Amino acid sequence: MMNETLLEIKNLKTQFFVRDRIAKAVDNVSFTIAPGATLGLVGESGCGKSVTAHSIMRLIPEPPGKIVGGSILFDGQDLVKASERQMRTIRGNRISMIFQEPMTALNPVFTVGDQVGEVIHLHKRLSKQEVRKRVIEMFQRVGIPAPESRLDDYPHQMSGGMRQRVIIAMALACTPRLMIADEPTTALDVTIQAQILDLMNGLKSETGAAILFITHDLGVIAKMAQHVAVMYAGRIVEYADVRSLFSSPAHPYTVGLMQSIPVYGMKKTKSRLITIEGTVPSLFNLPRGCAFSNRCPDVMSECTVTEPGIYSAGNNHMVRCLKYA
Amino acid sequence: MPEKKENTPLVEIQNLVKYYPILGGIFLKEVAAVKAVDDVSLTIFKGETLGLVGESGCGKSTLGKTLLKLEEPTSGKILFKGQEIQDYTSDEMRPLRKKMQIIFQDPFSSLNPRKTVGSIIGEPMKIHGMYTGKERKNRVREILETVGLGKEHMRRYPHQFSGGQRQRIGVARALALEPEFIVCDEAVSALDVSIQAQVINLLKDLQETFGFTYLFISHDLHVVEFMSDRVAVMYLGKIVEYTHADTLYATPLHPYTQALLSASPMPDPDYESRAIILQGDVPSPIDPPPGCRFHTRCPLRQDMCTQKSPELREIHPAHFAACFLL
Repeated sequence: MMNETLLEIKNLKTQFFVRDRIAKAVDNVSFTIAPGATLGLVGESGCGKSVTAHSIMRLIPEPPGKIVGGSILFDGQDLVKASERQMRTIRGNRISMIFQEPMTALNPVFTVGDQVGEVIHLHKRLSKQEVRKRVIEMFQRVGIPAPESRLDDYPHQMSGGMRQRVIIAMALACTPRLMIADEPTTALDVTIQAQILDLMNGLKSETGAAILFITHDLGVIAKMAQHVAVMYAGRIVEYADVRSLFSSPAHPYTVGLMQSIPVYGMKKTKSRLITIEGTVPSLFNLPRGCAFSNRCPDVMSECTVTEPGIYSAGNNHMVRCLKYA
Repeated sequence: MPEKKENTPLVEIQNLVKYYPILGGIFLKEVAAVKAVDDVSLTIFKGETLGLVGESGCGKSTLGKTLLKLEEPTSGKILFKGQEIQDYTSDEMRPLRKKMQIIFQDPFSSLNPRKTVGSIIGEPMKIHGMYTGKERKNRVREILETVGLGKEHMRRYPHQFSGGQRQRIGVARALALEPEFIVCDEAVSALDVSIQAQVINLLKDLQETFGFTYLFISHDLHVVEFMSDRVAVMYLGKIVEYTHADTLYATPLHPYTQALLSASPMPDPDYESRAIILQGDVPSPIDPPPGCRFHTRCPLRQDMCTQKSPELREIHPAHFAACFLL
C-alpha cells in the first residue's frame, strides 16, 4: 500500500428517489487512488460505475439523486461538503472527465478550439493569444495533425477518433491531478481504440495524472489499470491489483465474468461459454443478503440472509463474499 | 472446409456491388456514390458459420442486408440454393423469405413496441400461412421455450423485458419461420458480457439442433473467432482476407488483419502485445483511395499499392488475401 493518496472515497452512498422507491445506485463504496496511479472500475451496465464517477464530480442531478452518506476526500478536501462554487474551481481544472460519446460530449455550434480554450480561459488567467497557443500545444500533444487549422473546425468536421482526442485535450488542458475516463473508447473502432489507449498511457506518464478508468471491457482494463475494482449492483465486490485479479479472481461474479468472454483459441477446448445465469437484478428490488445470491453458482443458504462484509482473499485483495468469511 | 460440415453451398455471391447514390444539384442528379460494397464474392456452405469482421462503415451490414435482398444490389449475382435471386421481385422473394432471416443488433429498436411478444413471433407465421389458430399459439410457445423464455411472456410487450431477453425475442422471431439461413448482424454487440455469453450459447445450441447456416457479422474479433468456421475480413467495401477461422487467427496474412488482431485487447495483463497501431482513420467510402484501399494506413505500403488495386488471391490452399506483398 502506498501511504500517499490523492483520492479517498469512504462509504459513499448515492441514492435515487423515484416516487416512494429508493434505488441504491452506489452503496457503501470505498476506494483510494494514489497520485499517478490508474484504478480500473469494471462492471456491467447499471452497476453504478458511472454514478460513482458523477458523484466524485458532484454531477448527480438533485433531485432525484442525492449523495446520502460517506466522504470523497480529494487532496484532503471533502468534495461531498464542497459548495458549488468550490466545485467549479475543481471541475475541469484539478479533476477532469473524459466521456464515452465523442459525438455528444462536444457542443456542435462552437469550434473545437473555442471549446478547449474555454476550459483554459475559465481556470487560468491567460490572454486570448496565450489561450490559443496553449490549445495548439494541447492538440499537438494528443496527436491532432495540423492543429493550427483543425482549431477552427466544428465537431461534425472531425472523425470519432479525432473528437475523442479533442475531449482528451480538453481534459488535460489544465493539467489535472485526476482524470475520470468513463468508457472513453467504447464507442470507437478497435484500431482507433488502440490509438487512444496508447495516447492515454503516454500522456499519463508525461503528466503524472491519476486516472479512474471506467469500462465494461476486461481486455481494456488488463491493458490500462494497476488496480481494479469490480462493481455489481452498486457495490464493489472485489478489489485487487490487476495481476491477482486476472490470475486468481475470488468473487464468483468476477470468475463468471472472466469465463463468459470468448478469447482467441478458446474454441479448441470449449464449444460453449460458461455463463452467469439470469440477469442483473433491478436496483429497486435487490435480493436479500448478497445482491449476487440469485445468480451465484456457489450460493450457500446464509447468502440469502446475511449481507456479506469485506474479507481478505490474499495480499491487498479484498472480496465481498461469505465464502471468504 | 471443416470435414464435419456438408460441402454444398447454400448462399453464393459473385461480384456483388452496392452503391448508394448521393443526389445533388437542382435536378437531383447523382453526383457521387457511397461505395458500401464493392465487388465482393463469397460462398457460405450449408451448416457452417461464416464470420464477417470489419470496423464501422466497412460495409459488412450492407453486405448482409443486400444478400437477403433487403437492399437491392447495384450489380452482381446472389445465389440461394443455386437460384439466382438478384433480380427477383418482392413477390418472387416471398416464398424464399421464409428460408432466410436476420437478427438485428439493437434489441431496443428492432421490436415493435405496440405488439405483444406473441404477435411479434406469430405474425410472420400468419403472413406465410403457417399453422392455424391454436396450432400457431402452441408453436409460438414452443419457440419461446427454445430460446429460454416461457409462455407467460407471450402477452407482454417488449418494454417489459431486459436487453438480453429482448434479444432472445429477436432470435425467436427469426426462428418462427423455420429458416435455413440466418444473418446475425451484430446480434450480441449491444449486450453486457454475462448476457452476451448466454445469447452466444443459445445461437450455437440452435445451430446444433436445427442445422442453421449463419452469416455472423461483428466487429468483435474474439466473438467472431468463437462462433465461426470461416472468417472474412472487410475493409472499405472489399474483402481483404478470407479463410478458416483457426488459420486466420494463427497466421493472418493481410497487414490490416494483422493490425486488427493485434489491436484487440486481451483480458490478460501479462499479455505482451506487439500492437501494430495504425495511423489515421478509415477513409470515406464516397471517395475511397485509389489502388489498394488500405494503402493510406498500411505500414508496409509500396509504390504500386497506390496505383493498382490488388485482387483477392489464393495465397495458401483455401486462404485468400488481397495484398501485393504476399
